Amino acid sequence: MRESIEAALAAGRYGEARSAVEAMWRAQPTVASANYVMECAGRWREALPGRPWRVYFLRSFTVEPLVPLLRAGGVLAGLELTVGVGPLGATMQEVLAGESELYRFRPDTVIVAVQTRDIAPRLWEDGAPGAGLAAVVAEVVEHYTMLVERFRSFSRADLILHSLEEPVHPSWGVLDGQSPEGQAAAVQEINQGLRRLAGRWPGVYVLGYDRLVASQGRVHWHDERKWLLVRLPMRADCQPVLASEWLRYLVPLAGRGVKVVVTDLDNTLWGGVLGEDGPDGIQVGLEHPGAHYRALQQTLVDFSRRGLLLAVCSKNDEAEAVGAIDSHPGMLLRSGAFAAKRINWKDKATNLREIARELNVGLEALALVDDSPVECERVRRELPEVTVIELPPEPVGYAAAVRRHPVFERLAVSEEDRVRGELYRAQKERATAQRQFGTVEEFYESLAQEVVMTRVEPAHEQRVAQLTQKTNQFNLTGRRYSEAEIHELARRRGTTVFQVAVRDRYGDNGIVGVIVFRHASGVGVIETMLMSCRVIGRTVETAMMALLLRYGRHLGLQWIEGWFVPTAKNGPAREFYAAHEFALVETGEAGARWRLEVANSSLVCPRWMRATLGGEGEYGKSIAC
Amino acid sequence: MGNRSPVEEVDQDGLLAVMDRVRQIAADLFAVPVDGLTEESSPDSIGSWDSLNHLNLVLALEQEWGIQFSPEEMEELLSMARIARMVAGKLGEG
Repeated sequence: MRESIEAALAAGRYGEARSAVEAMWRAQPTVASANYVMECAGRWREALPGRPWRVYFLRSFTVEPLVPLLRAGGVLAGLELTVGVGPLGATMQEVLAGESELYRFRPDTVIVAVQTRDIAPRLWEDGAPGAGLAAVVAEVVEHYTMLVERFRSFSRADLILHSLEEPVHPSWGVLDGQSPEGQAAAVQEINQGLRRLAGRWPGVYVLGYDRLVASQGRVHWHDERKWLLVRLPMRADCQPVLASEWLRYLVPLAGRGVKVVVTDLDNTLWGGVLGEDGPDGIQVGLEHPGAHYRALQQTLVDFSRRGLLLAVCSKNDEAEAVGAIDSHPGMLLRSGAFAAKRINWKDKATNLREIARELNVGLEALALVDDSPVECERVRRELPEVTVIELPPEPVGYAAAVRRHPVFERLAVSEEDRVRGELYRAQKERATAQRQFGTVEEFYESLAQEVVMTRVEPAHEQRVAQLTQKTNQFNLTGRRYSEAEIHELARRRGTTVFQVAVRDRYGDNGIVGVIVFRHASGVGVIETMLMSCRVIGRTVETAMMALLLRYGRHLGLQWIEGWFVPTAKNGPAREFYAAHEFALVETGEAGARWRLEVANSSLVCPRWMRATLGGEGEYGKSIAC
Repeated sequence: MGNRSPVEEVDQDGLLAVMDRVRQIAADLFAVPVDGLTEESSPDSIGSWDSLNHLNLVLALEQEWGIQFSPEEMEELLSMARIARMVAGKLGEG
């Protein structure tokens, strides 16, 4: 194994090396292998860079041996983690003091890893049901409420709270379960309190520690000897499980989740080979063995409800395959569920590139689910950006192998996410329409687009943050914001955060644009301006700029300035300023600075769209175009 | 567990295979070349074998083989040879 990794690294075949390291890591997730993973990652870092992310632990137990496991898992999921660990059992002190190491570390995400026995020792050791427990519950929830409030007054980082775990043996034994005021019930009540807290505060999340402990078996999880010896409460083989669970939060928070799940058909969505076994011979349904394939389909249905798009890539005859998808009685997914299909005899790498292009996403936004080790290996070599999930040999393990992968996790689901499949279907109709028109103007006219730009509404802060995390192509500065940061910026004097919604005759595209605009003493600065790939090439950016200009006039600004910060992917936005009457002021290390004189600008919204600057006051009137 | 010597009844091929893995684990953890580790290598001869790394070593062994060491046993794991014999002993216990 090591020889093949070393050979691939030496030859510069980094995608292949990474997949071999990943296989080794899956088989041996130990603290020793973690060091080797990091050593290898150091060698492919330049070719396959990860996203830097800073994580700080507030903790009541020893997490140090878990840190290498977290960093190794992270680097294989595209994250370059820098990890800080606070002093043992000083969680509240660190949160309360604005000058503590916690804040000096400037974390992107803070994880509060605290156990029941530390934060509620009375509840853990002597859990006799009764009024005493209710007081403990109130006290602990109050403690966390204060923690979150004080934390937010100093930091906009994401905050992940471990839920509390139930004891293996309640003080009153089985009697504990006979009362609504028992020990286990008290722990669950605290956890409900944490969930309510997370619901109230943007950027605060609960990690289901109790569920995690239970998933490995409560008896198996605990290691009392190491707890007493070095304050390490869980067994060595459970530590990689906890590190993986942390990653399920960090991957989506750092914007490293995928957007599209591309799935194979034969021996993946159904058992058997359609071309050989025929539509009546393939297996999918409620009984063994078809149920295992159906369980994978249910997994994909769940993912699509989180906002992921589904696509098919399979070597098959297209008409025959679509026929089987739509008419087999055991299928859960029908062909309408897929935003893109490549059912042909071309190689998968070519097909995946085409799917990415059709759906307007980068290759790193794709995950491939396939049963064939050969196909998987080929994609890993040719397209190292794509996440490849090779299904295990036994179909009974299919669904779990896909579900446990952190790239499919979401920490928030917006209305947009729930209907994303629908949005892409409308997109396809638009593309068909575009081909029917002689000139591009005729096509624009036919779209009858309406653009509405308003200050970000509280309900959409999450979507706006999500857009800053995920938009790579039309993004002038590439700045990323968390939901908590958007929440704070939206309330900051001298800063306006705009959300941009677009509708057309094919349907509602939802919120597809964001501008973060800072203004003082006659100058407005575009901190961020971005537009989802969904509406690229439809002159929405011109409407946004016309509306921003109108807003600038309303504020009495003399200049509007903006930066173009080149990234690996924002080529489509490169010409934006030049095309909208801005003049280049300077070019430096950080990018190019452009400027528009408000009084002299003749920029207007294109005649084929209606654009409205929403909100109260003067700028609330729509601009007639 | 505790009272019986772990050295008893360990088959030699098994012990050699375990020794190879133990040396690899120690090499990864202590950031030393695997060829630089002998059966006698110990905290005295390896500078990076400090107390945190000793805990990491114990955890890595436990993770690798799904075994557990008691606090008393942890103090015994002080050379490549002793580690390999204790691991092989635990694996032999079935």
